[in-house]
Amino acid sequence: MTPLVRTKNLKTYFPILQGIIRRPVGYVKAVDDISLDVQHGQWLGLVGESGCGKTTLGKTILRLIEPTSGHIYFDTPSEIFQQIESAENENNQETLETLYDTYDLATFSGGKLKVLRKDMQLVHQDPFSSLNPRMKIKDIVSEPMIVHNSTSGDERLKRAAELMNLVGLSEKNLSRYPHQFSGGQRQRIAIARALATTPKFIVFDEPTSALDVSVQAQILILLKELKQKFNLTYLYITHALTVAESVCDSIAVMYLGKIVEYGDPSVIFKEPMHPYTQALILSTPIPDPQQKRVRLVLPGEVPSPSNPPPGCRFHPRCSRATDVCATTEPPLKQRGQNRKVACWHPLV
Amino acid sequence: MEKLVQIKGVSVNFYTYEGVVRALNNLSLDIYKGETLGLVGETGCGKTMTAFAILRLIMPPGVIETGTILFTPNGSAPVDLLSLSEKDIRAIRGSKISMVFQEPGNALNPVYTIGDQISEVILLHRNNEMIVRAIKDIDCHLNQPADERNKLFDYFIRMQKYILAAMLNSPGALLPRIVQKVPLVKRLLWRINNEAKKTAVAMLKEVDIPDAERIVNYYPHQLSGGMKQRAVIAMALACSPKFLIADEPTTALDVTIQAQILELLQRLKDEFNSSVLYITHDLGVAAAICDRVGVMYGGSIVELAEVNELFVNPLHPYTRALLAAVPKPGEEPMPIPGFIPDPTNPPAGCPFHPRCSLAQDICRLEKPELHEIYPGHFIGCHIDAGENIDTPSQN
Repeated sequence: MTPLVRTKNLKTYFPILQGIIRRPVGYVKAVDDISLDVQHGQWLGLVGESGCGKTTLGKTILRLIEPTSGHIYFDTPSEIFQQIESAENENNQETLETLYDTYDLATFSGGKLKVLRKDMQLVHQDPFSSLNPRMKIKDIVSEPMIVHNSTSGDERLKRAAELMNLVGLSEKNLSRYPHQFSGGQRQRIAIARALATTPKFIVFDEPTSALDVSVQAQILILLKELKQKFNLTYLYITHALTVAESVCDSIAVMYLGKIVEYGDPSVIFKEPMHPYTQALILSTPIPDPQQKRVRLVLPGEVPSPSNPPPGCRFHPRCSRATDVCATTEPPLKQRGQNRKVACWHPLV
Repeated sequence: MEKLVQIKGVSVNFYTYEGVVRALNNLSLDIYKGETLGLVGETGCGKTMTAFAILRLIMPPGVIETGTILFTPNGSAPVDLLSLSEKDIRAIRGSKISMVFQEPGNALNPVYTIGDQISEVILLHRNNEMIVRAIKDIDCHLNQPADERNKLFDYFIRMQKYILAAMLNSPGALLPRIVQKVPLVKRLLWRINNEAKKTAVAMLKEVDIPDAERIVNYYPHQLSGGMKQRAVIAMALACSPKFLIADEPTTALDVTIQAQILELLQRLKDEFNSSVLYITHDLGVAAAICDRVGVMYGGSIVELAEVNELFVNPLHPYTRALLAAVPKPGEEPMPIPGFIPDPTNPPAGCPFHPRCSLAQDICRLEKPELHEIYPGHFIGCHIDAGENIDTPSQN
């Protein structure tokens, strides 16, 4: 199966500038060498704590943040991957260059990128700051159409009304302003805006973290409906494991700019392989007082991504760490079907 | 069990241009000694307002309209917090009742060090204790053998001791008042500040901050979110309060840090033998650390029970709907239909009736009173337990 989105050795470093000439003295390694596939129609959850680079990865895939190095492919046919692979093996720089220029999103700019932007959209975290308070809802929802599908004003309005109905709001709301809506309604408007260009791929950056549980449930069900209806592919960034567990098809756990575990939620949550995943699961409180979990309290805090610990990045907080963890970085290895883990001493 | 705080029929209104917002609606709640009471509910249901009403922190246009809040610390006669003078309530805030706020970043003042901010609480409420310690320190110094200390400063040190003793014995006299007010002369009192800082360091150690002697001189921006929240907890516990209000203390933190803070709070609660009012919107957190849980909706408590009872046998339709909305593995979360009612124009009768599938005529007319169904299990609902409630509130 060819993936819809594939990143290969993707790195996003932010320079730390110092001095009068603003020379870089170091780099914040927000996304460090990530290779990730998002299949057609998949709902991939990206979980991790704040500062681990989830949002940066999502935005880099959309090219809203410039990658430092690496490749991003979007909707590329499988023959091309084979061609790239063979060219890499033969070390044929010329063919590689041309292939990268035509298919690698990381090299695109200007008009080429704009064409693709139509197919990939983003829904932001905070619905209170992602909608312009001075624009009416109809302008907010139809703005992507002005940019991407040069349709007439009437058609745009019709489509905007259609979109509002899709996300469960009345079209009467079109001439209102964002401040007249509650958080859940605003998030619905943001989703309508993302759907305006009929995208194939949507990145959700913690869309429900600012909402109450009852509203969160409404939004999650809406997302599920929309996904089935339009055959969408989601990258769902969240820090709430319970949300990821209940709605996602696959989950990637990130720690300090690296993916440490990947797999199906049912398997990951039952038998986590990486100690960090286990710690995350055990520290998430569940609303059932009878099921007293052995609460595993991780010592310390997430280290700074500008100066990550050598070897496995989790080893200073890990109870299973040995000498090898402190010196050599564990690769993300395939372990069983549809399961990857980056750990020298996996739990299972 | 003894009651520490009794909230009786408290109503809080906010007079805004859009109309009167009824933030608390005839709320009654008892908090027992040594327990952790959780308050859960969605945004705008009045959880934080309850905490603010207890501490009388409600700012205009908010007004506490009716009710009493009786506070009974350690066997003394109960005092009504709502009828105290501003001076008396200030003596209680931070010393007997203190609060941990939601955003540790906003609760700390960015231009003072952590140590300064913790010392402020200590100097405000435990000044005399600090003076006694400072005098002891001076005595200790003076009792050293004469050849080991510098006699040159003896005079100053004795003068310091005299002033400190005067502050302790006759705080209203002229000398202490002058020394406390006049700049430069005020510096003679540095020993008190020193003692307060030492206590601050001890408090930071108490909340498991590593290297507390160094951290005490840090500014808030130099600390991470979890460390800031620990510092705020240290500040709240600096006067070993009898009653701690924690207003979503872990909402802004990551789960692994949240687990650390929850464990810390539980340990400190036992250590200081205080009661905790724990406000949260996360039912999982409430299940993990509370003894009793109250569910709030539309400015009043709709259900109140022991934590096991509430989660195993929820009776109010809203509690059931809320529990069904929490995402669980393999199950689709069930949303609650409709929206939270407009607080300026709440529905007549039961505030939940427009969203409730079991609503009957009486629900639209009459607001249900909180009544006891089983021992210790209260609900505010017209529909009695056992009959219709077996089906979840969704169709």
